[in-house]
Amino acid sequence: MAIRSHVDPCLFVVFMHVQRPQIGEELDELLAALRVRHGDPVQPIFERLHERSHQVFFHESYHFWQGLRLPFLYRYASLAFRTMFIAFRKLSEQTDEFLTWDCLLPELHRLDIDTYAAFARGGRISWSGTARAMAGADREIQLTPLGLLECAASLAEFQVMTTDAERVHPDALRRWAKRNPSYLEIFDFAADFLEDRTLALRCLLPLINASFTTSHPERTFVELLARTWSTFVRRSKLGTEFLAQPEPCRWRELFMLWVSKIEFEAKDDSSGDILGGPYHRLNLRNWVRGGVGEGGQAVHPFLAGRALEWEEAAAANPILEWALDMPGWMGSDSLQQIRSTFDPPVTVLRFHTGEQADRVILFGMGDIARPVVELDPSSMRGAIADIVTMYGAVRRASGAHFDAFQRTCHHRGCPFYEKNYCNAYVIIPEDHARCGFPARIDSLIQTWRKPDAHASA
Amino acid sequence: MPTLRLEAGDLTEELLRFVTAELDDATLDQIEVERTRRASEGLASEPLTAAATLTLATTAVVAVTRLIERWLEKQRQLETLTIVAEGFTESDEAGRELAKLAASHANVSVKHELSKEPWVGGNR
Repeated sequence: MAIRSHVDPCLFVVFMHVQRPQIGEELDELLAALRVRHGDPVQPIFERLHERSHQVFFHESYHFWQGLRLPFLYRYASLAFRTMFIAFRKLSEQTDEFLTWDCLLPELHRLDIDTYAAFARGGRISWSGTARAMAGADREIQLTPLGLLECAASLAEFQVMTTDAERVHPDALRRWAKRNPSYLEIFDFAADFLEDRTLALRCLLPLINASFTTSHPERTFVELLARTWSTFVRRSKLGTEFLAQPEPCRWRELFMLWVSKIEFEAKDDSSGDILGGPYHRLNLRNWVRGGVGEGGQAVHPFLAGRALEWEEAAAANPILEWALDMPGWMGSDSLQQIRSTFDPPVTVLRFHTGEQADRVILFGMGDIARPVVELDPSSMRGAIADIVTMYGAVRRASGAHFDAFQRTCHHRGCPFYEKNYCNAYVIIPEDHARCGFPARIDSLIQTWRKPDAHASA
Repeated sequence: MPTLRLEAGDLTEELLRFVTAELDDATLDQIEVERTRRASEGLASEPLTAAATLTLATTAVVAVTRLIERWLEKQRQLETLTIVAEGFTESDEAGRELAKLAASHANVSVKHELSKEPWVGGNR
């Protein structure tokens, strides 16, 4: 069964899986001839990738940008990463037999928690933690933060793959969705509520992004949809004038204005509780500088550096926000520049060439967490290997963000293959007997089992 | 409306992309495409297509079947392709096209099933 490409929403490492059908003869020859290894230039490989792989790359890059720019997601990743780190330490303390590790980490399921949005025609919409809570509803949908993030990524993908004229045309979206796999159920729900697919197509991507500036994006999503209906479907003067403008319109500013008018239950950034806490507003500028709340400081190794850099760059150049809200209107040069400046610091690329000879390369290795933490290149590589080792073991033990099919390794004969605690490990040797995973995880476990480990950490 | 359910393992999406890319917009507009996705297990991930159901007019079945035939000619990695046809019979023109496809490719199986909508034509 095919292994899916993904961005882990806690770790924010991109795992790209290029399947055999997407490996053409040229790429196959290149992979064989170059014997690609970590650190080799990857541009020749990129140039030979199948069109579909480029599309998936954009989809995953967009998820990475969501991690950099959406306060809810940045906060989630930072706090979840710390939770993972603590879990590794506790599991190490309990036993060094990591193949027996098993634990529950409810916080790491926050992005999957179902809530429900329902509407009745004529502008009535509600949000609830339980199904069928709204009497007389015409339509209901399950909402999760992950579902919203996926819908946004699909709309962004559609935007960058279409022309200016098509970009606001619902028929173009319908055709695109037939020709490309996508996550558009939430778009369909919103379009049905707004009784206008063109309006939904124009506003939904910035609306979803604005929802992630609060501690409950699902709730804010419904709140903003309701305000959109009352302004644009009822055609207030403001709404009519706004819609008369050609895209790109200033949707982001409008939605942020509406978010500022929401009556929250607590002051901004008042909680570090991933699962609950009162409804409040989140400020990215606060979180990218180390985070606040009950949980204390939280620094993410793969997001912190670039998030801070983007935050500072966006203050001087607001057009950078278009990358998330309206990437189709950015122009390919600007978009490409953002892609190269704010690319994921760690991307794992596995080519499923088959015949027990898959190629796994790691690229983008560089300034993780800089300028929050300064590391020399060698220490950085070691830190990356340590982090993916610990994270893979914890996600296997907890089941959080874990797809049983996810593997970076093809060595079925390896004694560690079946249990798959090494699912995120990225240095795959030709012979599994030379794999560094067992020694590295053992060393990490023993480090945490030492009595003075907490002090040195 | 008749439906065709396509399952080609890991190549389902590739097949679907080929067929939908080859169809012109006007024909595509007459066809409903529904993908069955694999669950994402809490990952922000690419959508993986496990199966696809096309709802289409009988005349479009013939066009789609010929495109599938073209795709099969280029395929070396396909293990099996299962096509479940609903809403038309083996003796229809569309049914005969599908039968020809199965006869000329050992790894293609075609099953006819009764439509879930009782007012749509029967099978066999």
